[in-house]
Order: sequence, then structure tokens, then C-alpha cells
Amino acid sequence: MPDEVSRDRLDADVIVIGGGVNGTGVARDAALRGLRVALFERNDIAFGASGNSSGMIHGGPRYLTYDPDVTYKSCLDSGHIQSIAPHLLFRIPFLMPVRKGFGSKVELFGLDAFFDLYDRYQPLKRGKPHVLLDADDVRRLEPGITGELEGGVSFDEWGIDGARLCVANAVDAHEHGAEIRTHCTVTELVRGEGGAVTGIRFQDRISGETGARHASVVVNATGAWTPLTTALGGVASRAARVRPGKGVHVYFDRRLTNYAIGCRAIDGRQVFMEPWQNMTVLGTTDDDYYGDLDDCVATTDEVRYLVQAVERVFPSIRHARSIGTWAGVRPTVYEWGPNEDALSRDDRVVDHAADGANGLYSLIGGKLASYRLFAEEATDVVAERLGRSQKSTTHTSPLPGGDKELDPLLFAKANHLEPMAASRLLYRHGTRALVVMERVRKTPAEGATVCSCEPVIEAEVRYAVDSEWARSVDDVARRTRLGLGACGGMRCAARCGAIVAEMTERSPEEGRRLALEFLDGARRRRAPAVGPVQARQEALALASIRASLGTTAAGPR
Amino acid sequence: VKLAVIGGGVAGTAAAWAARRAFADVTAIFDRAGASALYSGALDDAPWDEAFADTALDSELLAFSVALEAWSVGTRSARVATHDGVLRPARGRDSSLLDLAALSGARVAIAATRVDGWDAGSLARSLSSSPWAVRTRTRFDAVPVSGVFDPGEVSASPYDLAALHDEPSRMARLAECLRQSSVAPDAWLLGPWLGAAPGGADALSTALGKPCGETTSPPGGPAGARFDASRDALLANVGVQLRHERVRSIETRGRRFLVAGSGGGLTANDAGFDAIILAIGGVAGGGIQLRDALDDEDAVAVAAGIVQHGAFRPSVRAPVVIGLSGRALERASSERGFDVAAMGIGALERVGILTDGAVARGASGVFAAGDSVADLPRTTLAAARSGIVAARAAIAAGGGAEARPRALP
Repeated sequence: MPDEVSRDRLDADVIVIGGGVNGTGVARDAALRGLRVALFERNDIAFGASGNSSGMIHGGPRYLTYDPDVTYKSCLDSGHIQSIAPHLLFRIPFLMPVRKGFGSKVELFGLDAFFDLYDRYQPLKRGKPHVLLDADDVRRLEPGITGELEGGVSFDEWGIDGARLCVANAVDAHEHGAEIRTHCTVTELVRGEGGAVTGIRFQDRISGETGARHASVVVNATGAWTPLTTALGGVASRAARVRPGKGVHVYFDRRLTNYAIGCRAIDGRQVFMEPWQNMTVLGTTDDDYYGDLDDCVATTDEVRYLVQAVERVFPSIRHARSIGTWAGVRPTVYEWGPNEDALSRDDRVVDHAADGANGLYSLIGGKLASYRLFAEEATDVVAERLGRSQKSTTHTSPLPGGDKELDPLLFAKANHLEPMAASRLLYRHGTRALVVMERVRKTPAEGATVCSCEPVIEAEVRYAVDSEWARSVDDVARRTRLGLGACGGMRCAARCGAIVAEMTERSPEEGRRLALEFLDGARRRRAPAVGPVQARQEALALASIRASLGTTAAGPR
Repeated sequence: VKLAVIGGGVAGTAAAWAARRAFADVTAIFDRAGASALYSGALDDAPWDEAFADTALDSELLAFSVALEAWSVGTRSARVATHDGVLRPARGRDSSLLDLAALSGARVAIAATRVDGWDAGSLARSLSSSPWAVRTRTRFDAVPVSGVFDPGEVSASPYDLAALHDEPSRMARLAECLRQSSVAPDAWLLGPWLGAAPGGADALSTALGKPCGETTSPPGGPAGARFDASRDALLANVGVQLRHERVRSIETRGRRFLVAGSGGGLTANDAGFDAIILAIGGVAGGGIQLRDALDDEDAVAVAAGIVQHGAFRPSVRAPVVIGLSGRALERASSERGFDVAAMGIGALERVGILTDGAVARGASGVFAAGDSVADLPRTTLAAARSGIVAARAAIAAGGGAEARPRALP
């Protein structure tokens, strides 16, 4: 146990590497317990799996038969998340249609019995019990479902914006004293006496600034990057291996259904279409991935695989307008043998003392739904090592913005906002929307709309830069969903880039470069989803860039 | 020669105008706007950010630019400010855009007024820091101007803001607001607000006694609307017959062509045309469509040998080949569609009708024009030039001697 004198010489009690849901979760938990925390993220908060998930904190009925503990933990913690961040959650009712065919009666009966079991966990997350439906019920609920149906079941899940969840955790950690650095990569794990990890060196990938921090404990919460991170300290650990699984989602320009619909893909895997925020999302694939983790993009065949699966149950999906994709890499617990779907979604904390690296811990696995519990378990380990006895309070203290619920209509009226803009702003920020609107009161010009698809006002962009560590147009998009609508940022990226550059004291030219970087990334994420209408939009977007920005931000002499 | 020009963008307008100058009997057929109506107002004959060429324009292209009221193409190149703060060279411009080439070393005021998407301060910083402004010591300052727009108008689109100033009283109000401002600059740079009809910037400049003009338009801004207005005036002026309808297909009857559109069926005594100029635009303009996946209807058609199925197809059913950089893009090799992601940056912009000269490949009597045909995306002047070339070729092929000249009004 380090004594108080030596503690003063350290920069922090705990250094967290990784700004995903595990990293920000641990940072928040530790900061709330009074520990001094420093968090380093190589890209941006929620850049990896956390910001590219299905956006659900579902109870994981899929794991019920072989991993019921995962289901229990997910449901319990889903309930906690609802009470600390009510603004970030929205109900997603699910429909599982069963097609008529050989054994379909038995299948429906089995499904009904299965969800009877799942219903036991539903109260933990304020979920409604499932309902057994006949074919007519299913069609009445979602007329777009076709085919001969035996019937189906409906059950209840919750959706969430994973990036907002991570940002909320980071903001809370920061407000409890944590240092948060994004776009700041750890270049080395510093080893001390007897091989113990005593700190890190870092480099800011935007400014180039370098530095070091020393702490008693270093937590590696870098998801799919985990083995790359341990290697920075020369720790070759078998225990910290992950099985990287790429997951792809395709999204559409609007909500096509009120229910999420489960379907079987051509290989028998379970996939789904879900109404998510103001759009519809198809997910997901699961394939081993050994490509560049900083640059993971969906491919055309992954998109076709998903659309084909959903088309069988919901044919009009084919004529709906897909406007983009997102892809992330799951850090599942390493196992040789099972196919990707059969891998455990459980989590574990690896103590690298066994590898001769005292003071270093890696968080392996985890799910959005049980992130808080995993962070609590990990922070317990850290606290115990530091000899601190405070218990976690993350399940009772509200996340920033989650302290109370505001009425969107009253809020819209009081702030002269469009009701739609008000409800979107409240969804993302909860009561912190008041802070955003305070900016408009001080500077009315910040009430201007930057992105009309979502919509996003200028004050929110500035707030994301000021208070949420956004340093690029991509970062703002991750926090506000600016530029992710049908126009793909064609109308707002340049304006957003100018604001970000100005606020971070960079040149207008740099602002244009940020806009181009976003638009090029958007093009790459959208191209695999491109269909007849979208192709035209992409060509227009390029034309717009060329007309106004040129294809190099430097512009003409 | 009886000629049909399909498409009402820059290429089609230039083709119709050039054909009328050669005394052809011209019918222009188009419905809705394409890429020209979405252009920025800057006129180029090469992609400006790839290779700016300050070349001399041939006399016919210059004559076309003069005939089109909205345009201003001089003997030397212009310099315009984009709405994202780039000072860029252009071969010519929409007359309402402020030409900064003539204002080297001047003090230019940017009107700071509250409108969504308009930030005069950041525009001034960006333009002032451009190499040209530094070199020529041209200054840009954001100058507060109040009262230009009513509070309810600040979220309107640039087109709607511009249309307000077609009303002379609103233009007078704008002039008054600028006059009331605290400074007396050499010139005023404004957003794309000076009218959906041509001539707004001239009126304002005259009222204030100093150059006033706009930045470039974003897609859907007023520059495109001004092009449309001056096209309609030009075509009426030179006696081009108009058919406002959406063309569905071009059918051959002997050596003549019939154009079937949304306006009604063909009749037995429809005489048809000697030649067709397709100026329908590329993917961005809607003249070329990407097919999504093999659908049942296609399979039936392919089996019956009706269409040659390809990944890209013209929006007008016509015997033409779609390609990219001189090579045919014939068909998708995946039954679930075409992999656009694999095409590379900018390729989508260059997909066009393949031609040998101006003749559509594999189809005698059908000609094609446009920026994608010229393989020079977003080059308005190159598109106009390709229209003029197509008109010449069509008339030559139609046998100029047979033409019964109709006097130009």
C-alpha cells in the first residue's frame, strides 16, 4: 500500500487508458470515490466499439440459455442506468415473428416458454413482460411484415446512444477532478522497480505535445486495442488477449417501423432491424477482424448480408433509403474454437502482476448494458490495491444531465426553439441543455442552426468543444449526430469545421481540412450503403465540396 | 435540320442556342433542374482545384456567355469568394458574384448580419489569411449591418433570402442598411442573397456607388435559379421551341427519332427529329441512375433480350453506353448491385455517356453533351463548350444543305 507521502509525488492515483464505456466508466467510478484520475484516449471518446454498437442496453436474452449470469447482470445494470441517465434511454419494443413451416408451432411454443424465463429478469430494468401473438396480431403491429406466419412474440428492450453515455461518464469524472485527454495516445507504459508499471508517456496526436504521468495503478481499458496497449510496456500477456469481432450496422434515413424486428440471416444467425432515435438501424454482423483498428469500415457485402436477411421478413427495406454504415470491433474474451456468435460476452479484470507487471490491469470484454457494474468491479480492485475503502456510488448518483427530466414542449417554449430541436437537445443533454441554452442567452447568434437534419444549433457545437473535448468535426458528429443525416454533412461540415478551428485556436484553413476529413470519412462509410438515390446524393456532396472547399483544404495560391 | 435537345442545364442550353445560330429547327425538352441549377455561380473550364487554366475561350463560347444574362465572362479570369471562405480563381462568374480580381488591395467589408450558416467574422478571418489576400494586401473586415432580414427570416434557405431581394423595396432596404453601417469600405461582400433573378448585384452597386456582390452559392442557392431564369429568356429570345416534360425514351423510326415523354403519347403523324442531343447530366444531375440490385423485372427483361442490363443506366431510355473515362461500365458482376465503394474518390462524378467526338457511342444521330461527357466534372464552361460542339456535329450529320433556315428574331 503506498503511503501518503509518496502519493503526493504521483500525478494521479489511477491512470485509465481508453475512452470507451469501460474506460470512462472506471474513470467516473474512481473519481466519485475521491481517487485522482487521469484518462488518455488515442482517438476520441466512444471512438471504438462503444460508439459503434447497436445502441441498446438490452438484457441479452441471447445469452440466457448458456450464460444466464450475463443476462442477469445486464438486466440489473440496465435498471441502474435508467435511474442515473433517464434522458438517454428510449424504449425499443421487439417483435420476433415465426414463419409458418415444419416445426413452426413447436418453435413458437419454445419461444413463448423462453421469454417466460426472460420475463423474470424484466422487472430489473422496468421492462414489460412478453406477449404471445398470433399471425394477425403480428401483422397488425407491423403491416410491413410479410410471409406466412405462425405468430410471434413481443418483448421489451431499451435503446441508448452509446457515445453520449461515454461522454456523460467522462464529464462526470472530470467534474470530480479527473484529467481527460482525447486524441492523446499512450506511447509507453513506464516500468519501475521489479517491473511494476508506474506510469505512462503520452503524445497528443493533434498538437504533438508529449508528456508523462505517474500513478500507482494503470488500467488498460482499450477494448480491441488491449494487446497493443500491453505491448507498449513490453508485457506479453496471454491473459489479456481478445478475440476481435467486427460488427457492422446499416442505417436508414427515417424510422421505418415502431417495433424492432428479429430475423434470421442466410447462415441462420439472428439479426435485427430496430427503430433507433430518429432512424432505422440494421445489425449486426460478427466476423473475426485483424485489420486496422483505427480505420474499420463496413464493406458492401456486409451491408448486402444484412439487407438480404431483413428483406425476407420486411421486403420494403429494399426500397428504403440507406444512408450510411458504422462498424466497430468487439473485444470479446479470447477463446480458440467457437464461432463468433458463441463467444462469451462476459467480462474479466486481468491483473498483470502474473506477467511481472505489478500495477497494470486490463479490462477484457464487457457490454454496454453492464458497463457500470464492470467498471464498479474493476474500480473495487483498484481501490483495494490503493487501500481505499470507499464504495461505488455510480448506481445512485445521476450522470450529468440525468438529475431530473424536463418537458420538451415547455423547454422549447421557454427557449424559443423548435419543439423537434428541443426534444433532440434534451435527449442528448438532459438538464445540461440548460447550459447549452445559456450560451444562446449570452450570444443570440449561437442560436443559429448548423445541422438542420438532426437538428443541431451552433451553441451545442460550441458546448461540445468547450465542455466535451470535441476537437474535430468527427468528434462533434459523434456527440451530436451532426452531419449523419441524409445529406451526409454536405450542408454543415464546413461551418462546423470553422467553429471547431476557431475555438481550438487553429487556422481557418485547418477548419476546412477538418471538414474535408469528415466528408471523406462520411463518403467511405456511406459508399457501401449506396443505392440509387444515395448515389446521386454522394455525387452532389462531392460537387459541393469541390465548388466551395476544393479537394485540398489549402486552396489556391 | 430538326433537332431535339434533351436537358435544360448549361450544356443543353448552349447546344440549343448554337444550333439556332446555325438556323436549325430546335426543340428543347426538359422538365426539372439538374446539376446546373445546383451550381455555385463560378464558371470554370477545368476543375479549379485540380488544374486552373487561364486559357482564351473560343469566340462562340464567349458569345454564348454574353447572350446568357446571368453570366459575366471577361478577357481575364475572375476571383470569387466561396461561402466557406476560400478565395478561388474562376474563368468567369455569375454576374452577382463579387469579382475580387478587380479589387486587389481594396478594403472589402463583409456584411455581418444574423442568418443561419453565415458567420461574417470567420469568413473575414479565412479570406484575409488566404495567400492572394496577403499578397495583394486586400483586407476583409466583418462589419455589423442590422435590419437586413426580419427575425422570422434568419432560418430561411439562401434561395429564399435571395428571392426576397427581387422585390425592389427590399433591395432598397438592403442598400439603406449598408449605407447606415459605421464604415465606408471600397466594396461590400454579401451572402448569396441578391435576388433569384439576374441583375441584383448591379442594382445594389449602382445604388451604393461601389461594387457589391455575393459569395458563391451553396447547392440549391440562387446562382442556379438565376441561370434557370436567364436560360428561359435566352431560349425564348432565339426562337427555340419548348416542351416542358420529362423524357422517358427515345425511339427510332427509320432514320428519325421520336421522343416520348410524360406529356402524352406519340401520335402517328408525329414527324420526329433528324438528330437528338442528350444533355441530361451525370449522376449528380439525375441524368444517370445507379441500379440497386437485380430485381425480378430486370431478370424477365434480360431473358427477353429487351435491355442490356448495366449497373448505371441513363434516366432516358436511349441506345447509349454509360462509361467512365472512356471505358464502358457495362454491368455489375454481383447480383446484389454495384460496389460504388470500390470506384474511388470522385469517380461517381465522372460517370457519363460515352462518345466518339460528340456522337454517342454506337448510336448514329444521337449526340451527347455535358460536364461528365467532357470528363470534367463541375466545369460549367466545359459543359457549355461540349454543347456547342454537339450542336455543330448534329447539324453536320443532319446535312446542313437540307436545312430550311428560319430567320432569327
